[in-house]
Amino acid sequence: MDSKNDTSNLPAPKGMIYVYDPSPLNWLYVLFNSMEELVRADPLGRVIPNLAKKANWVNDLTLELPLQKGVVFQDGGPFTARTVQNSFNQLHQWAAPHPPGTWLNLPEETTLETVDNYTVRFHFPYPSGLAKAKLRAVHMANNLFFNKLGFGYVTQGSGEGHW
Amino acid sequence: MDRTPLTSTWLTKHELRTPRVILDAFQDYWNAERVPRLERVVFRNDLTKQKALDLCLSTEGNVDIVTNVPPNQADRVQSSSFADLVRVKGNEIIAGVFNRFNIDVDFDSRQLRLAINLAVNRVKLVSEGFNGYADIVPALTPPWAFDFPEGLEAIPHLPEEARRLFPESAWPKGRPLVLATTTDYKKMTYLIADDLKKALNIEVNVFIIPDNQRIEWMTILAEKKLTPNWDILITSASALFLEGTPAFFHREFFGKDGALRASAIPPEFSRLYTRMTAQTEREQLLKAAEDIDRYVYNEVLALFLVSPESLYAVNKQVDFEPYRTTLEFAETSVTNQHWSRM
Repeated sequence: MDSKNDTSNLPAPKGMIYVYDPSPLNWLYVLFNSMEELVRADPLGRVIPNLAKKANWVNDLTLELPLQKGVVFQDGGPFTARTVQNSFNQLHQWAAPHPPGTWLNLPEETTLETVDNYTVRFHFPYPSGLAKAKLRAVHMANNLFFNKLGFGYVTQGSGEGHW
Repeated sequence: MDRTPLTSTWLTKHELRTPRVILDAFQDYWNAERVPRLERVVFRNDLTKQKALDLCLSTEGNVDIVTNVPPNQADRVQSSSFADLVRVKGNEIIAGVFNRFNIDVDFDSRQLRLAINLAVNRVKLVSEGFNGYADIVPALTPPWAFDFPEGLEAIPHLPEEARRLFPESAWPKGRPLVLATTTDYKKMTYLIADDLKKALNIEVNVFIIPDNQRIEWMTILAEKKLTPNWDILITSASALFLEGTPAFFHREFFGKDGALRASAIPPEFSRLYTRMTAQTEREQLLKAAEDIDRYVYNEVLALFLVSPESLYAVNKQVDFEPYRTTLEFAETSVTNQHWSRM
């Protein structure tokens, strides 16, 4: 674990709140509070690294992301490059996995290379300046999630048109 | 389902929410900056909007945060002894879509589109339509976005100029203009209709799409198989980020997979958008995004309107820091006096 991510001396969480959120995007907010992605939004709306330490363009077609170390899922399993590969594969199989639209899809010909346990590289078929932002829609999950739910497609048979 | 552009957007036909969604803090969370400060967050879906706000403003221990507070309820929140009003610049843009598929009205005329824009009093829209809780946006990129083109100013309210420019040739004599909207924007649409009537001296009819027909009307627009029977639709789009903003707003109104597009795809828009999406260097991407907003503004491709603020009613013992583009609670905490800690 990186030293700046050492949470052992932080105070324990306290209290609870009730929230009423009628927004049609409530499904997304539940997701953003319970799952994570390689990038996220800061309070002002910037794209910032999250489960990736950073996102560097190696060239116009290759985006390299070193991953945070020491991250675990709720079941104790580790977050690694294999998690990214599996999550990418799970979402990439559907034509329209994102309710906001297919424009959030990474290009169909995109491939993912695992450089090592904590580094991945996305290879795009053409320069994809919006790729970092689109990674907000590639949700990282463990095998338990994908085997039991898989964004509904384990039970619904499709990752499109429902959540 | 295939990968063609017009399968692009899901339209929610019905939504099933469990009465409560419970989120418990993950004690082994990795990020020291975002370690949850709360043990539990519960989304309540077992209340009406009015009941939720009433409980937040007059009780403890029932509702701590209400999102999407209507502007006309903001004063009520501010006078509550239980809750404060928290406001933040929004991520939603409201604009009017010109129906350029219509064959008897020439919305391809920039002069007509400009005349309509000059006829609308946006200051009044903000003050009367949103009780002051909205911001005028010159085109579609809000001034607080990271790719807002500096120097762009909102089209002014010049009703006499609007009347002078209003091209009789583009508007069949005696034909009423049809403004359509969903119930969300009913009040502002009537204000716009009033402005257009006065400035352009034409009849304006307002059609409020019933909530139970919303899906059908938005499907017609998204699919583009049928020509909608309105002239201008007052509607909105929202953003997950405030950089690369045209991906969220401009694409939705004018792009090939834009669910709100009611025109052919403007070739220059396509060229600029393609150029933006090819920029892998952030500063170049932001610059290309600015060029898109400038182009849309110069061509007056929409009826440019406002961005409403996001308003929250928040229990006084809750420290809630809103995000502009999402709703997250990692940084939210409660005081020792909060009901859950008493």
